[in-house]
Order: sequence, then structure tokens, then C-alpha cells
Amino acid sequence: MALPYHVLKVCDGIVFAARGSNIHSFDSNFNPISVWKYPVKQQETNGEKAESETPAPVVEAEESPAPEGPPVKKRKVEDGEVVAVTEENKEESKEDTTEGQTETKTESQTQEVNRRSRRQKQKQKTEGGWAKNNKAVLEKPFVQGMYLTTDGRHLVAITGSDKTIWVFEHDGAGNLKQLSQRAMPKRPCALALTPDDKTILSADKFGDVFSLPLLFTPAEPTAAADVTTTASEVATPEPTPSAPATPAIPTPPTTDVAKAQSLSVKPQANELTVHTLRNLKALENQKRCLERQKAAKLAAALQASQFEHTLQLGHVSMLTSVAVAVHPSHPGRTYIITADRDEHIRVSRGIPQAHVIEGFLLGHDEFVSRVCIPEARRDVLISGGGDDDLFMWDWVSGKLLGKAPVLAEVKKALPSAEDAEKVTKVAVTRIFDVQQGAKTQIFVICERIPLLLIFTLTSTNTLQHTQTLSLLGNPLDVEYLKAESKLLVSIDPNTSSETQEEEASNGGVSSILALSFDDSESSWKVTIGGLKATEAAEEESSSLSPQDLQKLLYTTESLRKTNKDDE
Amino acid sequence: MSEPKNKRQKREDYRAALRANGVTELPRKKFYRQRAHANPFSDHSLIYPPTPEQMDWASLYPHYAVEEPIEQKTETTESEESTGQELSAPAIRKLTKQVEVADIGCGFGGLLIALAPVLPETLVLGLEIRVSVTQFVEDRIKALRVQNEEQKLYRNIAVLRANTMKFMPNFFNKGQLNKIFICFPDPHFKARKHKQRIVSTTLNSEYAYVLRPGGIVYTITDVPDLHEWMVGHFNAHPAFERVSVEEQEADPLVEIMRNETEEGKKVTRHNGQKHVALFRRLEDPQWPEDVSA
Repeated sequence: MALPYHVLKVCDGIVFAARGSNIHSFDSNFNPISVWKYPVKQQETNGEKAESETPAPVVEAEESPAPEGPPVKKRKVEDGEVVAVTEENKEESKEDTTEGQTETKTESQTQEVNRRSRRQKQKQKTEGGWAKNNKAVLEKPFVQGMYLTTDGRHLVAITGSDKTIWVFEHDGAGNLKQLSQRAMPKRPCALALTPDDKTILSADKFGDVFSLPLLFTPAEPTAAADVTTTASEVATPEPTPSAPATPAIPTPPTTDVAKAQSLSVKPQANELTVHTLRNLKALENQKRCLERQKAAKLAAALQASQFEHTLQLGHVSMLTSVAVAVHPSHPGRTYIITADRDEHIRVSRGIPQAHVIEGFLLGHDEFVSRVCIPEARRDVLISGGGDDDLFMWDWVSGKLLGKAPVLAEVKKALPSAEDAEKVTKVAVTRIFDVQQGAKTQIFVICERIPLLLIFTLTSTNTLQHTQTLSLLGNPLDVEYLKAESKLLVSIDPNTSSETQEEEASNGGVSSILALSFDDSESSWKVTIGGLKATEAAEEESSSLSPQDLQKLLYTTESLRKTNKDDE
Repeated sequence: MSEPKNKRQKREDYRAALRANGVTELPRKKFYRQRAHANPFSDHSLIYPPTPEQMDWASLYPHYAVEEPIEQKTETTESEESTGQELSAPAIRKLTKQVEVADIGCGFGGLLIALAPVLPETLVLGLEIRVSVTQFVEDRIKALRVQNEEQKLYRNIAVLRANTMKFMPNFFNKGQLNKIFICFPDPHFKARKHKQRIVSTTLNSEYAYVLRPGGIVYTITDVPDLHEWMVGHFNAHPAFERVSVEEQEADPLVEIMRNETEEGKKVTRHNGQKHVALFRRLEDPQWPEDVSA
């Protein structure tokens, strides 16, 4: 299975393209510059650990060196098992791939891993179940998004199942240097950067938006580690969550500890709120249990904030898109715009007043998956998702300016009536704006639809459909190479039609298409000089089955609500 | 074990009979029981308007509906250029006044019914996530309206099934409400369930959005830790300040909230404690740019 480049980002003349878990960089002619590889664990140790883990977790816990913090990282693998990786192995492989790892950095990573493994332990039960139902779980999580600072000097990326935000320094020539890796409490769905490039806003699956400093200095590592050891020594002879236990599959004792940990130190009910004898007994038990866990809790509290992240706002719904906007009428005011699965687009004030909700953009009937504020028309917001139309808003007043049909255009453009019949709904995955002289062009792609829809945003605030371009495979992402006036569209080569397979044998399939604007016909055309699939294919292809890969690449349609018949 | 009718059947029969009779007698609770918890994160088959403007309030408060439905510019131009909001076919009848008081998690509706005569000029809405319980309150209000037709009572209260944690802005405009009641909410003891609590930093922002400055959030609970949680979260939120105890005790609604909710009565029976806290919605702060300018 060849992996497509599923996320693109352009920085001046440099193209960053994420492929699976790795980030490749190219120059404007698609000559490869460098690759950042997701730190991999080694296969042998993986198996070895998996075997030794199950029988005696307690013994293992004592053997591992405590002062370094638990050197264990759990990650979901394909069978739904949680496999432990020792930190040394991880670092070894990391040094192979990334240069310039400083000592402090690895230490801070150890700390993070420490935190994460604990959190995962608390969640092991649920995650195990989740993994069982989702075969498409990777040893290496896919890159979910890439974001650039306005000066182009930093690239921020999010990876999926490990919930991590990565910050890279970009030297301007396509080389990335990893600066930090931060695992968020919940999976980030989208990021935005504040105009001053100092803060990352991370919108997560649980509906919260956290702010993080772009560049962060790790907390004093030694002090925290010392506290951990003393606390775990004092606490109990059993393996406490802070002790470096290595079990892959949760054994009953550890799970219990983890469960107890999740309770707060104070019992929440009291004798007056509990009315039955049995519950009273349970309450007493709970109190006793909590007493025992107090020391462990203390350590946990000390460990809790390894890096600074502040809750700015939240929805009770999965977030899908976040943007930081400045309205032309008040250049000093920044807004945070968040979109969720429950049809809402919320306009809040920017930091430090993010608690003030200025308004909502209401009108969508299905999930919202993307919002786009065109660079040249910052007073307008275009949103799309599971609805048949794109919505256009005056976002500061909350007024709907108009709609533009997506489903109808898709149906029109599909070659056969049969195909058009089959498509009954669309899920917009990207809305991308390109300023072309005085014209604001909006490019839209939908999940599993091999078309590129092109609209023009007129000065009278209407979205006019100008062109539909047929593609040879499903588009995954769109970016614009300004210097060359080229539009880049990444294609999933696995979905190409037969005609393209013929081409493939001639080495002609493109995994990234380049489009340019033909002035004489005033339409966009595919030009020669995209990135050929064959060039990319020489690298290792994934062990994923086609179905699993599809599940990872096409996630937007799954946001649609289906179980609408419950009580 | 061969009961002629199972519980569900009995329940359905009862409710059908009640409707057939035009709901003149008060409904009986035992036919409307439902487990006490609902997952606020799941996609229930909820009905909610896309925007507050599209909410059909007139069916909830028929006595306050504007007499003649406002003639809206119906689809005279069905051109392809869809400019402006598409109007749904039947024009929505407007109310003479807006809902100003919301009881979030109204349960079996004790507070609503007690508030109806006390706030005769105000529209009060109960919001409840559980279907059966909502139906009970609905039938209860219907019966009360019929029974008190001459005094014109209970026309200002209504109930709605809704998940306020997700969809409050679909029902209310910014600053529409004057009072919000949060009475004996689900305590969600476990730490990992705290996100399901009805009071949280992020939800408080939404309460601030629907409340007008000066509006009050009323909270009451019998769980001391939840009380501390609510006080802590509202106090920490820049849009709210706690109302002083003197002012709180001077508010006649506090006494009603203490004694008239179903849960409040139950706590009294068990000699439990009741913790009350009121919070006032403050004015939004000035934009930082305006302050510096």
C-alpha cells in the first residue's frame, strides 16, 4: 500500500508534505530536501517486552530505574495491545533521525512520557476496548495537521493517536529541527497560531481549546523526579502509578490503583447525602482507600503540569476547526473562532478575554468541518461540513450572507448519471483561499470525491462557482505555491481510476498535482511538474491494509450523526 | 410470571388515556420514571432549532403568541442565488415577550410550577434531557392550565427536552435571559465524570452569553463538594460574582427554590443540608485595545 501525502503546507518556496507519520520537504520543483521521521521504536525490543510484561509487573517495576521516571511509553499497536517501549530505545532511534537533540530536551521528553504513561494507565480499560473495535490503529500515528507561523520560522504539527503537538524550527530552506513534543490530555483536532506567533491554540476532541506557548522551556526536571521517587517509596509497597511499572495489559492491582487515583482525595459524598446502608459502607471503604492513596496523589499533583497549557474556552462537542481572526474594522481586536460537530461556530474574544462569547454563527444542519477566513477578505467567513452547501457569514455580526451549493455542483460534474445518483451527501474536508490579483478564489474538496470545486468570492459577498476540475484520484489537501503561482493538490493514488493505472505503468501518476491558472481560458489546468507517485513509492510502503488506510485518511464523514433514534 | 400487561404497556396505556381525556387530571409520576442519568455527550434524537429565531415558541406558550402570524416574505424568488436566510415554509409565530427565566435540569417541574404564580409576567422555561420526565412535566403543565383556566394560571411556564450543555445557544439569543436556575444537578462524583457536570469553566461562558448583565444564576445542591465546585467555578469566572448572603436571603425565589423542587423536598425528608449560592452576571470587560486607547 503506497501512502499518499495527505497533508500539505507551503512556506515560501518550500513544500512540506506529511506522509503517514513522516514529514517530507521539497523545493518548488519537487526535489526532495529532507525528511523528518516520526521516532520509531525497535522491533526486537518490542517483541521482547511484550513477552516479559505480562507475568510479573511488580518485579519489573522494581528493576527499572526510578529516578529517571518511568521509562515506559505505551502506544497502541495494531492488535489493540498496549506495548511498552523503553525510553532508551526510543531515544536511540530518535538520534538516528533527528539532529540536534539537546540533553534538556530528552529529559523533558522523559517527563512527558512519564505523565502520559500514567494517564494512559488510567484509561487503559477504555482504550483497550476502543482499539479492539478499531483495527486501524498504528504503531506510528499519522500527522493530522501542519501549521506555520507567520514568519515561517516554525512549523507545528499534530499527530493523531498519541495526541502530540510537535514544534519544529524551520531554517527557511526546508530543514526541520524538532524543538519540542507535547502530549495533550485529549487528542488535538485542529490548531491555530495567534498573530504574534507566540501562542498555539489547540482545539481538541473533547471540545476544549488550550493555549500553549509556541516555545517552551521544560520544567526543572531533577526536582520533580526526586519528589516522585520519595513519594512512591513512602506510599505503598504496591506499584503505584508513579512507579515505573511496565505491564502492557492492565493487571487487576494496577488498574485498581489507577482507578483510585482518579478519585479526588476528599470523599465527595457524605453521611447525609448517602441514604442506604450499603452505600454508607461503600463510602467508608472509599474513605479508607483514599487515605491510602493520598501520598500517591501528592506526587501526581506535582507531576501534573509538566508544560504550561491553559484552558481558554470549550464546547461540549468535538471541535473540528479553530481560527484566530482579526476583523478589518477593529485591527486591535483578535477573535477565536471554533467550529464543532454539533453544527455550531462560535466567535469568542481572543486571549486574554476568551471567556467572552461574542456570538454564534448558527444555521448549519450538519457538522461543521472547516472554516476559512480568506486572507484578503477578513470580514467574511466561509464554513462547510456535512451540509449540501457552503455557508458564508459576516462573522462579526453573526449574519448569514449566503450559501453556495456543493452537493449540486458535485453531482453536475460527475461523469455518469449513475455516479451522481450514488452521491447523496458530501463532507467538505478543505476550504482554501487563494488571492489572484483582485480575485478571491475559494477551492473546496470533499471527502472521497475526485473533484476540485472552484468558487470566486465576489465583492458583493456571493460565492460564484467558476470551475470544477476532475481529478484522477481523491484529493486530500490543497495548498498554494505563491512564488510559482501553482496550486498543489495531493491525491490519494490508491483511489485512481483504471486509466491512471495505465499511466502508472509509464510512471506518470502524480501524488501531488500542480495546477496553474490559464489566463487565456481563465481556468485552472493541471501542469506538468507535480510529484510523481513512482518517486515516492521507492520508500517503504505501509503494512496497513487498504481498509485501515482509508479509515485513517477519510475521517470527516464519520462526524455525521447516525444514531438518531435513541431515548 | 404471566402478567397480563408489562410495565411499558401499562405506561403507554396510561399516557394514551390521559391524552384522550384532554389532560385534565394531573399525571402520576410512576408512569414516567426514567433512570436518573443521561449522557450529555451522546447524540440523542434531540429536536432543536438551527437558530433561536427559528424556534417555535408559540406552541409552548400559546397564550402569548402574537395574534396574527407575521407575514414573512415567503419564497417569491426561488432563484439560484441564495441571498440571505432561507425561510422555512410555515412562518413562525412570534411571542409577545421572550423567555427570560430558564430552569436547567427542571426534573419533574416542581420549581416551574411554584414560579408560575410568583412571576406571572415572565415566561419561564424548564429544560430537561430525559424524555419521560419531560413528558411528565408537559402533561402536568397542560393539566394545570386546564384546571386553572379561569385564573389564567400556568400559562407562562413550559418545558422542553433539550441538552443545554450542547444546544443552549440554539434556543436563546445573547443576553436574553434574566435568571437561570440550576437546582440539585447530577453531582458526578468521579473525577473523570467532572466534565459532565453542568457547571464548569467553559459552560459558565455560555451561561454568561445567554444571561444579560445583572442576571442571576441560582444554584442549590445537597452535596457539599459539588457546592464548593460550583462556587469555585463561578467565582473563578470573570463574568460572574457571588451575590452576598444578605441579598441572597432577601430574594423570595431562593426560598421557593429551597422548598419547592422535588429534589429539595426529598432532601428535607432525609434531613439533608441544602447549599445555596447565587451569582450575578457582570458586564463584559472592555476590549484590551479600548482600554489602552
